[in-house]
Amino acid sequence: MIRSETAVPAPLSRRDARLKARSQGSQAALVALLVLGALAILVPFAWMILTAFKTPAEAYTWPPVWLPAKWSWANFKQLFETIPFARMFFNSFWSSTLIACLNIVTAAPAAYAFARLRFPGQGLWFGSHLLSLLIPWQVTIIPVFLLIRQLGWYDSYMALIVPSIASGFTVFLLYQFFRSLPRSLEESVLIDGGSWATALRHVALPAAKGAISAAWLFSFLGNWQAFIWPLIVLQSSEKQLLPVGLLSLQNQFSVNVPVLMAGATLSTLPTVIAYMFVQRYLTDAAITSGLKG
Amino acid sequence: MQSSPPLLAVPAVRRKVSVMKRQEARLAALLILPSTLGVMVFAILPILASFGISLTDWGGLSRPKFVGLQNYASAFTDSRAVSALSHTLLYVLLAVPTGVVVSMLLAVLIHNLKAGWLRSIFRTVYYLPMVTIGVAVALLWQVLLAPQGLVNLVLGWLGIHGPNWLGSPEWVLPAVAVFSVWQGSGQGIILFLASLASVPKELYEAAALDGAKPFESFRFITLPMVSPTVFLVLVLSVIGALQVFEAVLVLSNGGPGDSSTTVALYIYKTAFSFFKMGYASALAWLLSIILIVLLVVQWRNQNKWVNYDQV
Amino acid sequence: MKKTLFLLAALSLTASASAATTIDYGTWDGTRQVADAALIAAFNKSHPDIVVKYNLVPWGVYWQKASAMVAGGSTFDVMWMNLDNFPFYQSQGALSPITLDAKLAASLPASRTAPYRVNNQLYGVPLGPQPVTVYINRALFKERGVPIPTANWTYAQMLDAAKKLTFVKDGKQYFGINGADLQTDLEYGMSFYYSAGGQGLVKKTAGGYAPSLDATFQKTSQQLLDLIYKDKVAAGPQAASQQGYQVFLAGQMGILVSGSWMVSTWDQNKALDWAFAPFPSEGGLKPRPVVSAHALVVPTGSKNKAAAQTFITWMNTSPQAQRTLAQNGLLPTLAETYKSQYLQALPGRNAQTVFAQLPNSVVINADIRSLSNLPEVLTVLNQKLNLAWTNNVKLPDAIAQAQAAMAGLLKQSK
Repeated sequence: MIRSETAVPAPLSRRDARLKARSQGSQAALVALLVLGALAILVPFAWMILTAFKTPAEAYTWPPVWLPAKWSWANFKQLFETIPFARMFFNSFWSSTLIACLNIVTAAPAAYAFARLRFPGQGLWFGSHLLSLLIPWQVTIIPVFLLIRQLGWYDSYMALIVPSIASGFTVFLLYQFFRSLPRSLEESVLIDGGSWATALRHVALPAAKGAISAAWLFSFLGNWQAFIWPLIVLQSSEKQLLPVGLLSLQNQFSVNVPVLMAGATLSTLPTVIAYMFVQRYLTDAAITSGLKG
Repeated sequence: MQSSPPLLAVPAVRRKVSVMKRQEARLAALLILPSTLGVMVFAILPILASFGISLTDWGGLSRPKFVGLQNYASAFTDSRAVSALSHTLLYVLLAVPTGVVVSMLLAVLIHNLKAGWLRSIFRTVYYLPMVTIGVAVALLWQVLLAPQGLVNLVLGWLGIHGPNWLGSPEWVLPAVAVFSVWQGSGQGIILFLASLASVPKELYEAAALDGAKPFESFRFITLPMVSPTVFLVLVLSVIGALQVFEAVLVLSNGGPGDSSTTVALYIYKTAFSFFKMGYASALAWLLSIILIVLLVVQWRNQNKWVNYDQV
Repeated sequence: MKKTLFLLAALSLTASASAATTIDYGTWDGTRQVADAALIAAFNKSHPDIVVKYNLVPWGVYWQKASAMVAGGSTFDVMWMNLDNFPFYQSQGALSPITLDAKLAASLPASRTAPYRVNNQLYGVPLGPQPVTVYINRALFKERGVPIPTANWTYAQMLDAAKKLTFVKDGKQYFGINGADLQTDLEYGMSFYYSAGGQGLVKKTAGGYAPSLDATFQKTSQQLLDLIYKDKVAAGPQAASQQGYQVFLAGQMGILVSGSWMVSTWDQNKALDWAFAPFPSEGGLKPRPVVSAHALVVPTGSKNKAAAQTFITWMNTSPQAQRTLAQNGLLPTLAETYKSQYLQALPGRNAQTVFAQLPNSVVINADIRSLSNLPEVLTVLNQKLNLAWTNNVKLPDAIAQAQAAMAGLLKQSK
């Protein structure tokens, strides 16, 4: 924070100096605590990345070794020879992106309607969204699969995408955020003679940019990780998704851990980079949305 | 909202109000249509179908045989189902409060960092576990949780002799809970950060002027303003914890013995290993009823502590 | 190996070009991927009117995909089947009978074909046997001065060798044998049980079925458990989280009781000096290791049953296929006939040991396969024994609990 009034900053008074020191001290304490926690996150990842470069013999040595004796790309080479990794990565990426976008497009209006509007049957329809979150997939998977078969969508991207378009999770998440928005701005739109639709477009949506980015991200990652449904409805290997590919590195009695770690590393890096771009919308947007009232 | 109308204009206003109500309902219908349609066709219909399946004795391959509510009756006398339920409930008690508190604390710590670049870095780091493919991460943790693995090594520095996490019936569920919190707290952190950022700074400034200490402003400003998000995270955590499956499958496969077999894992084995799809569906319905009851209780209770009347 | 993918991709392209029948071949065994690619290429060449498409389904989710496909009516044309699932699939009408030329049918090994015959109809043609085998790390044997096992190796001699092979060097722990994998109800442990004269875990009684965890079972279990906790020649859950084969691959284990399918895995460590060793005998009886009897089946939902049958017949009986498998270090269905090719594929590994044991091998639980709730019975036994193996419950208590739980379930079975 730059003070524009004085050319030469005045020396701090004793009290101000003490406050500044205390706030710097507490900042340092915050950072220290967060670094501790960050280590708990990063150490397993370091292990994952390092193991991707080890030979199988090194990876299985007990006690475990940290660094590979020789950094070899052999595991990555074998990964690309065993499964069509690049193709699967691309499939996973575009399908997760598409589904996440469709989730937002269908869920945001619905969440707003449930949060702000009054209409008959509201509780019932909202309840059905919540209900969709409750039943374990183990038993709904066969009926949905039978439905897909009836529609003739087996082994097609329609089967992968269409059932995932509506997301009770996203609706619930955005519903909570819309409910917690102050009504003042929307009310001013209504009093000026505008409709709820206007309020949605010009007030609520911009204000919820942070929540929508978060919801998009969660939806993307949920679909990125999904493997049961793609496994069941897709058959051609050209269409198959990444988690199924990585799963096929696991045999009945053995798993090639270094190759799997190579696959996991390659799967993680691009998504981390994508996340680093998206994340700036996650908190700053909410601050600058004009909620100062 | 609207001020009371003058007496003579009442009929006209009432007509206007009902017209507006119809417009509102029409708009609402349009807004909720795509999502509700999708949910009805791909979630509710299959759920109803699964209820139908739960009334049958079906192996999953060919014709089901109708048996009425027999599956539900068997569930109550099935000791494996009952123990799976107790394991699941214990897991929920371990994982949910821990997860919510950890996410909230970390979010508050990150939020209070002054340097924007530091905030970005920590946000990214804490979100990493959610970005990785679950199977690989679970395999990693198997190695970390070994008796001489990293977790016990670190505990040893603190003077604690760590147990054989995945090999003791008492410690396996806490171990799975720790893994889940590690993997899932990123999501809660993101939600809490977004919520914390929307609390107007003026409130804190006013409180500071009144001489409030940091802990007091946290308790009387932050918590109430953030309570809708706490509720959201709580509900999502309970739903996830009651259905925990992949973590248990990869880390311990329900063992040792069956001490970490959760209901979702038991349902999975019943459906696909024991060929009892009908019974598995009944178990799934019973689990869902428990979940619905828990959610209704939480929903009703939220008036006591969740504050939606924002400034 | 990139050629493998190219090959498989090219094959599927040519499928669309010609008017040939395309059939889908589904398998869970990724360790055979290279061999399968060679086999499919050879088949497509010799049968231009049929094109085979390879589908590898991860083992962890194979049965979910299979049941979803059968339930949906859109299945593979040829798929792998094991004895855990065969009785159920067959009894639900999910499998189509296979007709074989009488001479060919007679040439199939009886013990591995019989479980797939129901009402005199054959529903599955057995793939090559996958016996439990013992591997040794010859370098470690030499280093510790332990004599290489001979054909009449006994359990006592094995234990003695394991003791000498358990040591610490340069901060690394070396183990004599893999104890944690030898839980008595699973393949490796059951091999010791059958070798000691065991007759089976479930017996038929007047009123139905009852568990038979007899004295042989208890003695064998105690022996195997002692490897970890008394003799301390094996890593239990307290010592390491690595699986037996992983420790062996890293060169830190002297003896590994595992299966013949692991041969391709040892390629991951070219420096490993591994060899087959005989299965140890107990009490003067001939060793009886367990052999897995997987088979190829044709699901009822297949639209190309004739082509599927042609492929299965070729895969499991034709000389060309058998030779290719043997040359890849895998045992073909008619293992004995192609012994020399198999031995040539694995020079200097003492592979003839595998054939020596084959005649006496046992198909695990073959006599009780038709039990309606066998999977549940076996699961509950597995869970109770696991508690003993992880040192949470004393073995006699675990066996007693297992007996009670199994008895309860067997009462409900048909």
